[in-house]
Amino acid sequence: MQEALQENIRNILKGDQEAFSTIVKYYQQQAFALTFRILGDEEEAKDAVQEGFIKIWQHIESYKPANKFSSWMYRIMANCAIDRVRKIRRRNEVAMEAFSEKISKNYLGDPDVAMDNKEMARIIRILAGNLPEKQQLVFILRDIQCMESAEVQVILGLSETNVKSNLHHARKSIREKIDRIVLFERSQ
Amino acid sequence: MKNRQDDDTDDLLGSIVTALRKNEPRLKDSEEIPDKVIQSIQHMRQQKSPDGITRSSRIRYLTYAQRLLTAASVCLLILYGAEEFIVVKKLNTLEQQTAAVRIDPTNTIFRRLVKSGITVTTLKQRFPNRLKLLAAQEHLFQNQTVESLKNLLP
Repeated sequence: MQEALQENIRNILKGDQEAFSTIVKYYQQQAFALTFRILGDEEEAKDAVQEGFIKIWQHIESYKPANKFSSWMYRIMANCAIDRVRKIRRRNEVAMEAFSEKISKNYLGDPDVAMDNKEMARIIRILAGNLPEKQQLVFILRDIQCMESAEVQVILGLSETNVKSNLHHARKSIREKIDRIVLFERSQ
Repeated sequence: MKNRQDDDTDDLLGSIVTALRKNEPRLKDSEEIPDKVIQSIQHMRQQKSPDGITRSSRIRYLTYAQRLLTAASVCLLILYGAEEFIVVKKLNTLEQQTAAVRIDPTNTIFRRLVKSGITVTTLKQRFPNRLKLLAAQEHLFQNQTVESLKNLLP
């Protein structure tokens, strides 16, 4: 695959759109999963992916074959998603009461529950929507995307200590939020 | 010590995070993004077509002209400032020199010499001897006219 990817990149550098289309088709799902989890909105996530791939086309010459293409792509996608988060800034606190019952009922003790994009977006927004930017990204990349700390450092340009610290604070805030949900449910 | 609330929180958090990991967001239409991306790229390429280049180069020339004019304006302003400075400095020097001139018979002679167009240098050249120079001044003082002095000059 790596050989085919490098071949495709060489062709893209020559202006081959077909080769680029192949790369977009191959990586779009991974890119969408990341932007969706950052943005919590399907349409915005698709736009971010589109914007990200256009940036990749425009700056493909700056990609160094020694590095992982997926890390480079994730970095661009994450940046596009972050820019959109900053622009839309509609991540207002969601009233816990509106979701708590459903969250507990649906997920407590059942991690295998199926979720559609809409439901996922709601849960992501409840959990990570109000977190500071870096904490939100580190939490999503480490805990939801299950990326290695080293890869998160590369994608976000943060030090290991920063990643650890942001992850700690993010987990703490999310736990407090879940705590409030459980408390609310008990009071019902 | 952990209580039931903490256990429930941990269970719920664990379940939600696991569910989010297992359920990856899926693209409903796998052709939509590649098509849009390729369309955007083609659109960008069209903008870089000869017509686009002509248009953008025209804009570039206009920008260059604008920058050139701005630079010229700045240069002219600097030149104007420098000239003003020199003129003011010269005027100040002249004013100081004029103020320093004493009003006595000798200087009346000097003024007459200036008015007549005979420079001090010419006078000194023509009367290199100090005594002769003093005599010329005396002559001028007594005759009250520069015309007669002019006659003395070769």
